[in-house]
Amino acid sequence: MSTMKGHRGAVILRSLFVAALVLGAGACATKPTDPVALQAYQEANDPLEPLNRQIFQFNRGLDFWIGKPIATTYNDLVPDFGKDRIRNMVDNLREPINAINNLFQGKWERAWRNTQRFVANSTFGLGGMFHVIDAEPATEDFGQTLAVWGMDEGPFLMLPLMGPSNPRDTLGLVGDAVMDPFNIAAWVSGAKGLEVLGTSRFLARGIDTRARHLGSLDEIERTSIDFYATIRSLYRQNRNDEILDGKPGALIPLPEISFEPMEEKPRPAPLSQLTR
Amino acid sequence: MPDRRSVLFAGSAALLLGAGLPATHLRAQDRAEALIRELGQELLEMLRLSERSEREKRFRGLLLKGVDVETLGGFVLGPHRRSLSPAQRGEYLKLFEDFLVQTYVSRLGLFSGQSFSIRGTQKLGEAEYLVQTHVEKPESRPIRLDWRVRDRSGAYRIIDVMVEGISMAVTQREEFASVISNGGGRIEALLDQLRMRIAAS
Repeated sequence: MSTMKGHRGAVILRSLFVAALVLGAGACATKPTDPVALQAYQEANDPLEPLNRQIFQFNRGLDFWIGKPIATTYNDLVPDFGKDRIRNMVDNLREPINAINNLFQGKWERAWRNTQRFVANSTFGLGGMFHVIDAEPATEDFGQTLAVWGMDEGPFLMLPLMGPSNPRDTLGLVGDAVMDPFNIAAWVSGAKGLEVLGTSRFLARGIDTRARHLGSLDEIERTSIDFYATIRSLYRQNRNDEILDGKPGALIPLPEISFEPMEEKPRPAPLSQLTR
Repeated sequence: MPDRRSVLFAGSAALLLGAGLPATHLRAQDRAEALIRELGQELLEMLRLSERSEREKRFRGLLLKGVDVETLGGFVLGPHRRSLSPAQRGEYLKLFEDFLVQTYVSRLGLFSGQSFSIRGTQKLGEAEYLVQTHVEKPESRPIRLDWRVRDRSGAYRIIDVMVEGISMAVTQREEFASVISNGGGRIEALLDQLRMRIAAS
């Protein structure tokens, strides 16, 4: 990003931060004293819930007026073949970040897979448009790396534009941006072309992701009583699954289920204890 | 000195037990798997029905046959279930059953026209199994669908389903907890929402 654009970005970020502080005054949920309500409060792990819900509404507004119409148009106009090529390219540009994070986590085999995929698909696969190598994808991000290193996720956060998150994954977003070779190249060289590439990649990734979830998100919204709480739960569980690389052997101990009050078992151990 | 007959008896008992143990263990795992295989086929058939009311009827039958709705309902309500009166408990379980029918007939629609295969079964605890399956659709990576099955003295019932590692029971529990705490911690707030939801269909 050029200094001009970077500066503008900083201004936007700062105003969002200030807005969050202003809105946040009095937006904290009060901690209940009743033991049952307290247990529910702790399980939700969302002390900023009133503010988070406001940001969620803001994001839904943006999605309604901008995100969804673009994603729907993209879905209708671009044939499946084209969509697959775009998705492959966007995924391919992420392989260096996957590889670095796999290295950080000591997952050598997965890092090697990322490297093979990136080299083969970027060359023979015409810039990643075609996946010439059939190795299973091994995606990682810095939020997952921090989790494997033992960092707790912290309270739930709803970020403007970016959606559900938490302090760990927000730090992860920053980490990924900093370690991304394409960003570094753009910053170092200041080349206009690389900057345009970076922005297009960000937009393409956003549109592709939104388009992919059009049906399922609508379905979840329609069938939920509390859409926000459902998204919060789905986000957390999905992150845990990603951190454990979807391994069946590393399954989180499933909660005990019973109607008998005395049989209620304690909550499963925190994830950080499992990944270590 | 033990007489020959009792030695013989002890020996054959040990032999029987020794041979019997791994066999029963295997059989339990197979039974959990058989339940999922059968239910999975029936669910796919259910999705092929054109009328929604027909799908709901068929799904309710499968739900009552294959899922431990009471256990699931209790878990989903979390610590709040302790404050239920017997009458509320009865109404809640009925509403919960209707809610499951309505919600999952709709959500399962996302899987229609796809096929499924069993990947294997894992023992989770004393009497619990995780049957791992894949939902396959052409041209994309399969979706992981895992079924948590509990053996209640010989009756095998599903107590949770996980889509790509996401537990439907946990998701539902967190949603219900949120409705209750945003309704001032009253369980009636949830019952109201469920009644409204079901009446609207």
